[in-house]
Amino acid sequence: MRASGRRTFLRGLGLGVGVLPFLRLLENSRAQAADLPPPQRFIGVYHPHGVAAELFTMRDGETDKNFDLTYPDCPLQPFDDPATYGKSFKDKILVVEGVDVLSDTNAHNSAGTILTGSRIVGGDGGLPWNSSIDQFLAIENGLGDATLVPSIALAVGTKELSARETLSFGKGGVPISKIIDPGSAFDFLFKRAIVGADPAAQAQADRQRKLGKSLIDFVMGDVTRLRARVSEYEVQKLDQHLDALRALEKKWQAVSLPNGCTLPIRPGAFLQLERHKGGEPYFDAITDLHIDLLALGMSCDITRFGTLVMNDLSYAGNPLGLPEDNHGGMAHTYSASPLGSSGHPVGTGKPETWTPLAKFNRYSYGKVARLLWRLDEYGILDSTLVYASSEMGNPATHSTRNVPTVLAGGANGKIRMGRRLKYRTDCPLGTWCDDQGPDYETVSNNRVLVSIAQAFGLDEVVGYGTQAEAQYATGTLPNL
Amino acid sequence: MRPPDSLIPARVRRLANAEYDGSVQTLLGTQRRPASDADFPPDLRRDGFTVNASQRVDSLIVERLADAADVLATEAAQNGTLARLAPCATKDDPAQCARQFIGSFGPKVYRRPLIDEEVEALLALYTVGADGATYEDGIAHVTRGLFQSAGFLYLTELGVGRRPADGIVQLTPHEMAASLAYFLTSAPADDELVAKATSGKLADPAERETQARRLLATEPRAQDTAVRLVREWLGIDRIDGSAKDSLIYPGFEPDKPSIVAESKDFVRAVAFESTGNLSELFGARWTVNTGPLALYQTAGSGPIPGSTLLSDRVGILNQAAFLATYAQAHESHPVFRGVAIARRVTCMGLDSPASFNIQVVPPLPDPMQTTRERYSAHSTNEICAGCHKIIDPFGFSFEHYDGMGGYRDLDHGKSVDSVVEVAVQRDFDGQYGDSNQLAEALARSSVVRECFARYMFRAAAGTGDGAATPGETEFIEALQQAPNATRGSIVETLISTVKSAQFAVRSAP
Repeated sequence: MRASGRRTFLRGLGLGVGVLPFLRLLENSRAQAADLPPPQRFIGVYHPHGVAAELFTMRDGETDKNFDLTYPDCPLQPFDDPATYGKSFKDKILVVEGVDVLSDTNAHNSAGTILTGSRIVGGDGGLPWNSSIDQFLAIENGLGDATLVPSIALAVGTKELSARETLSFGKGGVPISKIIDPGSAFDFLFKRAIVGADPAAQAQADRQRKLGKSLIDFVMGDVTRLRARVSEYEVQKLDQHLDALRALEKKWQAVSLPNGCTLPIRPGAFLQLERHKGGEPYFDAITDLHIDLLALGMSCDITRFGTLVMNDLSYAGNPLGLPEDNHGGMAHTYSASPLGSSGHPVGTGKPETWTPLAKFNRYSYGKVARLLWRLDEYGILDSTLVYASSEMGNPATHSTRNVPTVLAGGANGKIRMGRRLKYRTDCPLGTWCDDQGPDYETVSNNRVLVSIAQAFGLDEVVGYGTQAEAQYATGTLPNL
Repeated sequence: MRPPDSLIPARVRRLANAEYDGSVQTLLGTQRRPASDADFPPDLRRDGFTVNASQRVDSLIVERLADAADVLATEAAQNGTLARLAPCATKDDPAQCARQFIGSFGPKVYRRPLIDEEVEALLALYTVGADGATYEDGIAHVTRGLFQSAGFLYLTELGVGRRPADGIVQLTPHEMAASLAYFLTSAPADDELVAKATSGKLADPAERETQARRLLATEPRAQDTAVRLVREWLGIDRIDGSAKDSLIYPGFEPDKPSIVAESKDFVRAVAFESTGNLSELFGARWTVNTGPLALYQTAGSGPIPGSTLLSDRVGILNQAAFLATYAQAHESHPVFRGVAIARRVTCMGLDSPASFNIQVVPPLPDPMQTTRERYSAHSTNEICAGCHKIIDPFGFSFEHYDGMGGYRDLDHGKSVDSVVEVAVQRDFDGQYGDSNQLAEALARSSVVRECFARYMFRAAAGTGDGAATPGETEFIEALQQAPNATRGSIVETLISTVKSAQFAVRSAP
C-alpha cells in the first residue's frame, strides 16, 4: 500500500530527485523550439464527466499525424468542423491519451489536480498542496504582470471553492474565487478601463482614481503591518492579499483600453446563474459569453492567463437530449469496454452507453473549439496555449486513469500541434493492476504541467505538483 | 505544563461570510448582508465548516470587499449613521472631528485599540476624501477604508507578539473577547464583553462562561450561530444548494423551501425551545410546523408550540434534509448516508477508498435489484468490507427513505429491507429494524455526545483539515469530568468550548 500523506513538493524547483531519466526527453523537446519565443497566453479548461474512451481513442491504422475526427460520434469532431467553428483546428490541437490525474481521492475531487498536479489531502473537503500552473506562471513568476488583470478564473454554474470544481489555486493550494456571471467577468476585465469622453466623466474618473488609489495604499499598509506580526506559515496568506491589492491598484491606474480594442456592451443579467437553483438552462449561453470575453480580454491584452470551469446541462429538455440528471443518467451509466475500464470492471461494456457520453464530450469540445475560433479571429491563437481536461477517464468507475487531455493553440511552436499521442495503458491492456504493482506505469498529468511551464520559458521547472513519489511529479510529456 | 503541540498555533483568520455580514450589521446598523450577495464568493469550507483559518483574500474577493465597503459607507453617509458616529458640530476643526471618529469607531472595527500608525493612516484617508469635497465625504472615505482593512477582516490570535519562553501564547483580552463573540454570535463583542476584556476578566474561564451564557440568552445571533454550527456539523446545510431529478422526484423543488426551513427551525427549536439535548435532536418524535409535513405521517400537535408529532420519523437523521443531502439526484445512496453517520455523528475514522488503491465502482443501475442489493457488493469484496461493514448497516437502515426523503415500502418493486445489525464495538451496537430505531440508539449514545463535542471544538478551532485538532483530546478528557447535564446539551457544549483552557491560548509558531 502506498504511504499517503507526506508530500514530495517539487513545484517550480529544480530538485534532483528522480529527474535524471527525463533530462534527455527534456532536451529533445526543447531543442526544436529553442529559438522561438514562449507563448504569451494560457487558458485552462475543465469539462465534466470524463470521456467515452472507445470513441475518443485513435482508431486502427491511424498515426500520430494521420487521423480522422469526422467519423460519427467522434467526441473531437468540433476540432474539424469548419462549417460550425469557422475553420478546422485539427492542426492546432494535440490530443493525448493515457494521462492519469493522480489525485489520490474520489475522482470528483480530482478536478483540483488538473492544474496543480497535487494529491488532494483531507478527504471530501480536501485541497491540493500547491498552486495551479496558471497562478504559478501569472502571479508567482510574474508573467501576468504586464497586463491589467494578471489572471482570471471563470466558471459556469458553480462558485463553490472546493477541489471538485476549481482549477485555479493560490499558494498553499487554496482555491481562487471564480466568476460565474458574464456581466461580472466583463466588469472584472474592463470596468475600470472604461471612462466616458466628456470632461465631467473624466473629472469624476480622476477623483475616483485618486480615492481608489488612497484606499489601496491604506489597506496595503494595514496588511503589511499585520504581515510583520504573523509567523512564516501565515505570510503566504497575507502575501496573497497583497497580490490581490496590487492587481486592483493596476486597475485604478489604467486610464484607457489599448488601441484597437473595441468592447461589446456589457452582458445582461441572467435570471439565475447557479446550478441547483434553476441556472442550468442558461449554462450554454453563459459558457459562450465567458469564452468570448476571455478571448476578447486576451486580444485586448487585458489578461494573459485564464481558467474556465465548464458545467453540464442537467435540466429537463436539454438540447443534447441527455437525461435530466447528466451525472446519474449518462456518466454513471457508461459501461466501458476494456479500453475504457482499465480492466476494472471486467467485461466488454455496452456500446449503447458510449454514445450519450460521447455526445456530451462533443458538446464540451465544441466549446473549446469555439474558444480556438475566437482566439484565431483575434490573431492570437498561435501565441496561446490551451489545456483542456476532465477529472476522470471512465466516469462510471470514477477512474482518474486515462483522462481526456487536449492541448491546443499554437504555443508559439513550443509544442507541436496537429498530432495525437497515445501512451501505453497503465497496466497491460484489459487487466487491472494496482499502482504499487510491477506492471503499473503511469504518465501523470504532472508532466503536462511541467511541459507547459517549460513552454513558457521556465526551463528550470523539471517537476510540478505534489505526489508521494517524486517520479510521478517529475518530467515532461514523452514525445512532445 | 501543557505541551505547545497540543495547542492551535498562533495565527490570523479571515472573517467568514456570515461573520462579515454580522459585523457590518452590528457596527453600522445596516440591514445589508454584502457577503451573502449572489456576486460574492462563497466561504472556503474546511471539514464542512465555513469558519476556518484557510480563508483567503484573492483578487476577486478584494474587489467585492472594496465594492461592499463603498456601498456600506455610502449608505451610512446617507442614512445618518455616520453623522451620529462622527459628529462635528461647528466644523471649525474638521480634522480633529475626524480624529475623534477614528478614535471612537476605529477600535470597534479593529476589535482592539488602534496604534498611532493606524490612526495616522486613517487620517490620511480622511484628508484625501475631504480634499476638494466635504467633511462628510472624508468620514465616508475613512469608513470605506475601515471595512476593507486587515484589522477588520482578520481575527488575530497572536497574543502580544513577543515569543514566550514556554512557547505558549496567551491571547490578548481583546482577542479573547473577539474569539468568544464570533464563535457564539458570528459578530463582534458587545460593550459589556469588551469591558470585561479590558478589565482582564476573560482570562478566567468562569467569566467566559458567564459571558457565554449572557450572549446565548440575549443575543439573537447566538441562536443563528448555534443552528449554523449544528447544520454544518451534520452537513445538512448542503441541502440549500442541492437538486433532484425532477422526473423522479417532482415533489422536491416544491418541498425544498420547507425542507430547508425544517433543517434550521428544528435545530433551533430543540436547542432553545425544548430540552436542548442531542438525545432530542436525534430522538424527537416531532418536528416543526415549517417542515415538509406533507412528506411525513403526522399524529397531532407536538410538545412545543409550532410543532407536530410524527409517527414515521425519529429525529433529525430521518428528516428530509439529511436524507436528501446524502443521496443521489435520482436515488437513495446508502454509502453517503452511512459515511455521514460514521464520520460526522459517531466520529469513527474511515479512510478514503483511494488510500487503499481501491477503484471505486458505483453499482450500475439495475431495475431488477433494490438499492440495497446493488450496494451490497461492497461487503463481499474483502478490501472494501473493512470499512463497509461499518458504513453499510448505518446506510441500509435508511432504505425506507428515497432520494428526497419520502417514505417507501417498495424499491424497484421489491420490499425494502432496512433491518441491520450494527456491530462496531460502540454503545449503539445492536439489531435495528430501521433508521428510526437506530436513531433512538444514537440519541442515547455517549459516543455521539462526545463526537458532537469534538466537532464543536473543531468548529471553534477552525483548523479544519478533517483530523483531530490540537488540544481536542485534552478538551474531551476535561469534558468527561463535567456533570451529566452538561454532556449532550447543545448549548452547554458550546459553553464548555469557550470555557476550555485551550480556548485562551495558542502555541508560538
